[in-house]
Amino acid sequence: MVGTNLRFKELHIQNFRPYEDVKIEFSQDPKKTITIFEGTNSAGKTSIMNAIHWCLYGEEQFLNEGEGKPIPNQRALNRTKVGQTTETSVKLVISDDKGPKYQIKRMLHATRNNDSKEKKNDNDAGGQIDSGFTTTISIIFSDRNPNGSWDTTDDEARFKAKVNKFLPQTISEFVIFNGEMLDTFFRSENAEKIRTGIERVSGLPVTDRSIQHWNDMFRQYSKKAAHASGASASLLEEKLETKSKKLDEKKREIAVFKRNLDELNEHQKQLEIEIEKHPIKAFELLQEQLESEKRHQKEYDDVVLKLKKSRVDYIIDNFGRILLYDSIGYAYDILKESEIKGETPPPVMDFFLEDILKKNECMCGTKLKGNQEAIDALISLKERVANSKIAQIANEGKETLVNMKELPVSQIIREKLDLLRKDENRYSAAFREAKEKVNGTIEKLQEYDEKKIRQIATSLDKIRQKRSDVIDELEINNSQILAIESEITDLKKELKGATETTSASKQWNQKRNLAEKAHSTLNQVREKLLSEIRERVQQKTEEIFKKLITRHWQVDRIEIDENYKIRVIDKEEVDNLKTLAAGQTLYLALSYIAALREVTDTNYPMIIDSPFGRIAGLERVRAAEDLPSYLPETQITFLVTNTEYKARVAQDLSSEKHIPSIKETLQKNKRIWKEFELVIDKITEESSRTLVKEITV
Amino acid sequence: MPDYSINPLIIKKINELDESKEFKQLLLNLLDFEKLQSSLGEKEYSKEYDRRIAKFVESSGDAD
Repeated sequence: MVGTNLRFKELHIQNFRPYEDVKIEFSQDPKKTITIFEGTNSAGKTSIMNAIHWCLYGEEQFLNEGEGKPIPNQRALNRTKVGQTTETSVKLVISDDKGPKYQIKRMLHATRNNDSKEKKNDNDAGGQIDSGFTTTISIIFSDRNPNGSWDTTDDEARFKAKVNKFLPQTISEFVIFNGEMLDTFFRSENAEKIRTGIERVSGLPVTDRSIQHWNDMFRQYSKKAAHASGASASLLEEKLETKSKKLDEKKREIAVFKRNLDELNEHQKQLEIEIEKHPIKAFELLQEQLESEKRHQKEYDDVVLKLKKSRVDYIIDNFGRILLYDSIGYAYDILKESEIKGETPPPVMDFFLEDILKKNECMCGTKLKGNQEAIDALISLKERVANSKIAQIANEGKETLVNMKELPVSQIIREKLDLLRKDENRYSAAFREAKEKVNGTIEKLQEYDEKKIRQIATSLDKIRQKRSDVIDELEINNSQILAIESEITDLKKELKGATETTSASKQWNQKRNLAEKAHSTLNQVREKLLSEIRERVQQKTEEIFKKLITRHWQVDRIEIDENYKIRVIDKEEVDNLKTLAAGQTLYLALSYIAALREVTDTNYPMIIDSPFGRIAGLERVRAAEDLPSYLPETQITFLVTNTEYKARVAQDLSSEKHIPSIKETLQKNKRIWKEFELVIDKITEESSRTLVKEITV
Repeated sequence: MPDYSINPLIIKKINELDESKEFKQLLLNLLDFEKLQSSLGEKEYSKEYDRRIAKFVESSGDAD
């Protein structure tokens, strides 16, 4: 298991799916380790992987388009006449540093017994074939002995044992895998993936079997010791065994609950981080704030409108005064001037003239007696005044004008209007302020994705509830375990009391104690080893992952805890595993696989279908550059599509720079041994076969 | 030949245990037996374990 360099050397495929008779070679060059198979979709890339898997384990690993279709090549089956047999076979040669080490061949023989074209499902053929066929499977495994001779077997059990010894099926997913599925590698049940990966490469099957057998012996000896001590001890032992089984069962249940709780804790943590980014409470507070601000805005708006209306009403009410104020002054002046000029009769009343005539004396003291001319003039004036209203009108007009002019109208109106305007301005400013606040709050609210927030909040509530349920279940189970343990302690005491010390019981007890000690010691050794391997895998995964990803500075460390939970911790102590981009998850999976291989010091080959299918741009180039450098002597076979392999992507639209293609990158690094093209050879309208042609560089 | 059935570090760790040489040897011998006989029935395993345990108890006089 340690320090082994295994390589695929040759694959000979006959009548397997689209291949009729094809020999494929893989790089044996320790420097140019990469072999490329390039083909369009449906050309047969996945069939190469399936051929290897079928040869080793008797089943295909990656079924998609091929599901339901038989493994034997359809044209070969169609050509088979009654009485003839068609052989479908895959022969895989694996080499080590000394040359070919294993030759493994699986054959499927399909014999046509009649011409029936009815279809039947055939397990060996892996799909539907004509019911006229019968099929058989045979295998051959040859391994090179140290002296160079070959040890060959066609026995199925030995074949399986030999294959499982150097490449167990459980390990094969780290050797032959589909790159397009790696981005989902850690998406779910990642703890199980890590646990199985580490346990599988840790070389534990023999140890686990021994632990199981030591436990079996402990149980057997316990029974025998009790039996040798009498009937009551035997009965107590039986009870003890039942309780112990119950305890184991409860412990298993607890382990499941704990795993669930871990998952829930993780999920809750993620959601809490999410909700912290867009907290529902802050969002709701903002919504409340917006409502209150809108209310204030409306109130201010109403006041402003009222004040505006009051001002307008006031202006309308006083419009005449405001408009005519200057005209009044002007009219007064004209009237006064016309009086002085004599154009307007003086404001003399007839009764006043009458009074002067009666007294015969003017108001200035001049005696009128003897001054007939003056008396006549006054009489004439009196008559004119008596007959004319103009003096009265002029007088009244003048008085009105004086009153109007002398009133402090202008000042009052101005002051009142100023007051109204000030109030209006004050409330308008408050309105504008409220409006700004409303707009600001709306902007803030737009940063929130309400639907998402509600979803997160609902999920968080559900998770919290589930978590609380699981914690309750755990508590119940824990108390049940305590009760069972207490019963077991009592039973053990009782059993001790009931045990008669006979020489037979003493001997069984000695053996039982030894089995118990051996079981516990081996378990401890196993756990210690696993813990050390887990730590090394963690360190290596972190080292490789940090070198592969572009934003390595964001990652602080990779953690694989005692429950095999993998975490990608950033500088802020947050686990980013679930928010990694597809490309980054793919890198993490590749880093983990590379770490497992390095830790076990076994340099197995690697065949990856569509290795770069899920990564784009610079990351793709980086993967092509860096990945092979972390697997320096590993034989790597890439099965790629033309686009995936040769496409040159524009770096940006403004400059005409291009990111180099995977082909250019690998060629630059001189890692390619040979490139092959999978060519679909169309034979008739309905049938075709795939040929493998070397591309001459 | 690579062998995923047993990790050599297990053997190393057993040898490093602070236990008697005989006890460690018993564990290692039975691991070896498991490695070589991977497809026996449960009875055969019990028989072999019992045989070796009995021998150990007999030679040590006391299991503990």
